[in-house]
Amino acid sequence: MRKQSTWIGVIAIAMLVLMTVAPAFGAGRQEQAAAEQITLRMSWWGGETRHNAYLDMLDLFMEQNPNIRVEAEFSGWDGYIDRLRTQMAANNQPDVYIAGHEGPWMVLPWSARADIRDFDIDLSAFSQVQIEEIMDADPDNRLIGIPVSESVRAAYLVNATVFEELGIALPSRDWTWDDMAALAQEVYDRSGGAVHGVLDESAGIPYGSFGRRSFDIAIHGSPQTSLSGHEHSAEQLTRTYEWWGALRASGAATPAEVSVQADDGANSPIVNREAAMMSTALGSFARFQANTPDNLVLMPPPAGEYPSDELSAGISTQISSQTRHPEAVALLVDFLRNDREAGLIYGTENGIPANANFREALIERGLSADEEIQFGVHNWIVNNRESVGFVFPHPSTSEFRTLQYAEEQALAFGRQSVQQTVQNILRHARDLGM
Amino acid sequence: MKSRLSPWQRKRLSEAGTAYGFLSLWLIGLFTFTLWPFAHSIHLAFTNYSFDPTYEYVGFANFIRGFTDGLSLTSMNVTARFAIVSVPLRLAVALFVAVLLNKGIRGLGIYRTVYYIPSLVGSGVAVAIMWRRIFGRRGLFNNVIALFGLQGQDWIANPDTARFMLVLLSAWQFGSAMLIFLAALKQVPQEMYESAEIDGAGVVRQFFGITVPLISPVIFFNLTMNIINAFQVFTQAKIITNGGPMNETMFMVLNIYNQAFRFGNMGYASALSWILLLIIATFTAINFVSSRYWVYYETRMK
Repeated sequence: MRKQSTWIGVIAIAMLVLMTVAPAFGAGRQEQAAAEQITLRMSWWGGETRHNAYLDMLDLFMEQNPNIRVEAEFSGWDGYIDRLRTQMAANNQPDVYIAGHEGPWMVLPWSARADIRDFDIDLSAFSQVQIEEIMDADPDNRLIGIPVSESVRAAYLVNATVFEELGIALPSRDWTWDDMAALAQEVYDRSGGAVHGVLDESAGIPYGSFGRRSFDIAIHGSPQTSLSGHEHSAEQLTRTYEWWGALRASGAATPAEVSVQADDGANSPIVNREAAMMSTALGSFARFQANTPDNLVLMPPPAGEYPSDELSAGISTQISSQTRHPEAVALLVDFLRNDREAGLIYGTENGIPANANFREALIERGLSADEEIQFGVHNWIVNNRESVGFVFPHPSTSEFRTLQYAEEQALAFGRQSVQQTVQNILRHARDLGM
Repeated sequence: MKSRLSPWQRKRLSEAGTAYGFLSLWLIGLFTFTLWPFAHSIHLAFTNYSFDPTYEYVGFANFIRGFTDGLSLTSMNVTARFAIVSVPLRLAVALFVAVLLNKGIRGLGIYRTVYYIPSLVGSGVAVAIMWRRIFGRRGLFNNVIALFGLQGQDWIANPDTARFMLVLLSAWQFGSAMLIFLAALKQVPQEMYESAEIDGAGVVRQFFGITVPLISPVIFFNLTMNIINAFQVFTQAKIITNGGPMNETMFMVLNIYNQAFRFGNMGYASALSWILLLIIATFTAINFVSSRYWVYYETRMK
């Protein structure tokens, strides 16, 4: 009996050891069998259409490069940056990943991102302005990504069906913030209060950041925060909150309850017909349109006293500084961002492609209705609006926004005055060293 | 050479070897994924680590900030309020349903399973999304009350009701506590109720005079576990409200998550985790100390 239990123990430990080491031996044999076989990892976020586009591109790449296998790691937006950041902290990030260079992306350590110029990748079809913008973001002036899209930071969605039903003419592309306020009021009045004119961008809503930034630059000449700190004075903040507060009070802007739940999906007020206008990113147009039978149109953001639009390098394709296969990675990234066939597969998934050859290829192939709208607004902005220099936000911006949103929501729900809100927000900025 | 171990000692050793052989996989997990991060977080709590390889030791600065920072104080306040309401409510509902199910009704197994299901799925993402759909502006609840001519609101977006919606979700997940109460109720001798009934005691008197004292060890156990769980609430707040509106649902664990992964303050987040542990330990200790005055153990009878 004693011998039996001893043997059981020995067998259990042996099995455990075998289970632990067996995969390693297996992997070792496989690698030996195909010494030239390289496996890369690539990650991105997005919805189903983007996932399918990338998977099709990767299939094509692996067909052309049979010795390289690319493992795809894709997910929705929620938690994408968190995961990437954690992987970077553990030096376990994918070889290639899609990311940005400003705003929330500044939490990713620069040292984890390789300099694209160290790789054999063709950059000739990309705008030098965008390349320089990405280089400016890096403390050592390295090029840490190749832009995927040429982004317009903000655009305005207008529900044309609602406008038509209410007998209101669509605005022209050179509209101003005052025009927008008047239209919003008209929508609310003519609908008998059933539809608000515009989503309240001042109610502490993460999804309102597109329009809010555009508003800040157009009205005050600068965004709220830059690398050097908080840019707005108490007077400027007061003006912002009073401007939006007046719209909220008259019903032209959405009430707090609607605003704080706004997102770019099922709870989008423009999809639910709770608001007839709201800001978005240029590349998000197709997603909104797919969610509603209403006819949406895209507008440049309204103009103000200052130039309000910025053409910028949107998100970019980046390379891990820890990659062990630099040549294979260069092949992959060059394919994704320079191969004409890959460009046609990806289309306008992230807005207007940054590669000029991709834009030409798409026009040659023929644009879809959604793409026509995006190209139309993009080209109009390029030709008619002045581009302002990009201002990088302060590293504590994410933390500041959480505090600011709570204060703005308290204002929108009528729990505190404009003065109190402004005081609190400036205090939070000071506390965070902004 | 003759072994120095006695046959009894050899047997014990052999049995221990077998046990550790089977336990080894779990032990590896415990040391790698629990104890090591646990110990490492103490180290990080005294640094300004923010995912950058270079960091500095900051002494107790992170702990001091934890008790002075506005967002941290808000999260403590919000979590305490949540726990104070949700724990008694969940236990009351669990005990009430357990008492009903203890009446010897037919199909007890089915009812027990049905009431336990929310506990199984309750902390998941899907239920959190469902809750948002039920109590959202265009949710099921508003559609139902509209049938009675009542005007609904967005119960989740409203700062007056958002936290209570999460309390309701917590109370709805009473199944686990209910099962434990039910098992305890079945252990209460029927003769006691019969004697009390002969003496003229009503149902309420029987409940507070017999049932509650006899199941008080189980009440104590459920209370302790639920207090710990309440202070660790995260998923529901992350998915349903994301801490809003007005930080009314910015629970401590959500704040720790934000500090670590959104704001990059990993050192500070580690300190907040230890503060949370101390708070939970304090409440648990209070519970244990107070238990000698209200928990009845037959074995302690003198």
